[in-house]
Amino acid sequence: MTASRAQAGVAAGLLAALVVLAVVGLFLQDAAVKVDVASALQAPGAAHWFGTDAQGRDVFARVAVGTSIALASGIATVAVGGGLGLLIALVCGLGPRWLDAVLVRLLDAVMAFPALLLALAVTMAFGTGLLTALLGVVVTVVPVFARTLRAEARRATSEPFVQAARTIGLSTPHIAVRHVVPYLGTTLSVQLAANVGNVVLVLSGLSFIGVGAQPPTPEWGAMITEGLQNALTGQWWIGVFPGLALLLTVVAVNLLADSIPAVRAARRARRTRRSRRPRPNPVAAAAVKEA
Amino acid sequence: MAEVEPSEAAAGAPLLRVRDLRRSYGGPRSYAVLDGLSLDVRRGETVGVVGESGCGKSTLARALVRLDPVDHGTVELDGVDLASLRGAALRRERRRFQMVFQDPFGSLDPRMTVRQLVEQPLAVHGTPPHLRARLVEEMLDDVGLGGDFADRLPPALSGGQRQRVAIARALVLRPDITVLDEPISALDVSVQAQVLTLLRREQRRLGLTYLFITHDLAAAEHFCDRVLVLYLGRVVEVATSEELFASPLHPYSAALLSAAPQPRGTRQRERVLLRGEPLARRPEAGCPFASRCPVGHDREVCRTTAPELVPASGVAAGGGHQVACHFPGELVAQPVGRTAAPTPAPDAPAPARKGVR
Repeated sequence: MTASRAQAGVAAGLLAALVVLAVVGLFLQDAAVKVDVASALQAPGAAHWFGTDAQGRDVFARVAVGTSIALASGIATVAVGGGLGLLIALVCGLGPRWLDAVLVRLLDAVMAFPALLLALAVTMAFGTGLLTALLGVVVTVVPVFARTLRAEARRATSEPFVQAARTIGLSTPHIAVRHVVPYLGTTLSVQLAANVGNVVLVLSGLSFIGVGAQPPTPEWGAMITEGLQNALTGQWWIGVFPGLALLLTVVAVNLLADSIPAVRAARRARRTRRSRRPRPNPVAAAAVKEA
Repeated sequence: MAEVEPSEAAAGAPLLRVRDLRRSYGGPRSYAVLDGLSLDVRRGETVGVVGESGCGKSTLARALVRLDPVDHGTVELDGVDLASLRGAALRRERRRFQMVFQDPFGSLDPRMTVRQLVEQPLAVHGTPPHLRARLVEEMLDDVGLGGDFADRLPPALSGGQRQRVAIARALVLRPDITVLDEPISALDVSVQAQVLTLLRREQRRLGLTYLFITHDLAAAEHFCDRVLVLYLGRVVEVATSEELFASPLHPYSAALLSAAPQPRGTRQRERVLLRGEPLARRPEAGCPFASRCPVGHDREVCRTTAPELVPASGVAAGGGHQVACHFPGELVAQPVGRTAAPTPAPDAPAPARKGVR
């Protein structure tokens, strides 16, 4: 219990730091692309905290902008993919069985491809770039959500309270929103968090091999590729700092995902306990005051 | 007791008229769990449905409230055939038939407060918000969960309290008929009577009609006006609860009743032991009960012809006592110490049937 609370705390701390970095990045967008050949390949120091790259751009500024790109694209991709996946899961779970069977086969077919390969294929098909890479990653995320949530949604339909909702006269879409989505809450939030990590990793991977964000863009994967060129000559900071940022992001998000179930359970227990506590009774309170 | 006089109850069309209800499970080699079941429920009465596990009690309940589709037959509530309704029309009619589930721990969404739970049916059926609050308040007071209880979540309630919330949720719509699917079997014995008393009180106050599904014979006798005995998806006997419990005519009813524990101090009935194991499926021909029947196991007609449900002759004509048996009343559960009157067969050892016991 306390272990998972501590874990949640560490995750929250790391994420807070990353968010601050991302916000700082929003103000450093010019600095991140400003070429200054005179101060190329400087080691980390007071002037450039993370040093400069081959074209004299400030690596700290680039990492900070990369953070905002990574977090924004990770969250957006997971939100879109998760939303679509949830929708499919609800249709599968609450809809007719034949439709469920058809959709599950389709999802299985998509999931048969490794995520990175699938994202790569989709990205290549639509042309390289950050936006098409995002599209490719969404395609890989949707079936992951749909498949896990579908099983839970199916289970929900046999829960007596879902059947009770039916006897009361709720329509299927209402049952889905009012009873099934809350029932999926924990699984959904764990999946959302865990997938942010995966998505950030896959996106960086795509950029790393050159089909995602293109070089001037300070994207972590692209930066690591650039950094490789200088790694052998000793300018380690160009590739290592974006790599560290990527590592920390994935670790923080996965720690968060791990601690979600326990945290949610504790919160629910607390809510239940609080609901049992008697509300102050106005009449009794008045009587006490008089006495 | 709120027993309805038979003559008075017989007048007027039944509120619920079920005819030839069939419901099958399992794909191509499907088996009809309910096999042409018919029953009537009149307004204001409580009809019990009893029978052993697997006889189709819960299937009946689920088919009646349209949780499962109906394969064949009609379920008329006040002239409207519920079995043929679909979609929005069905949802609109749902306010007229409600159900209380067996499991009060599962049938309430654990994330909704008691107030939300009881208000939800009203909201679904379009009661304006200002009316809702008052109706919910009243209903919760009626079931003894007024005041602070309204803000609690189900996990903070006991089993009995939860079942009272479930009852409030069903009755707040003022349904024409309420199907009670084993509403007390998941509760502590100390709470069972309390819940039955509550149901009875609300019935008197609101003029409700109940279909009470149970395997608790004592509860059925105490709580119901009429009782249906179900065996392998068919009604084998219907009678007022007094008559059924005093003089069951079907051998299965007699055996079932003889197996119910008697209160201490009353005279013990002799247990009627049935032969063989309960069948999972009806035989192709003959009376479904024949193989286990103390009366008919060795009679040709029972093996070959399925008996129809017909009014019982003789006993209290007009009471609506019906039985599906070729030899009704032959098996009488005797109080211990009295000699059995007309025993059908001497105690000759029956020919050994499948398996050795």
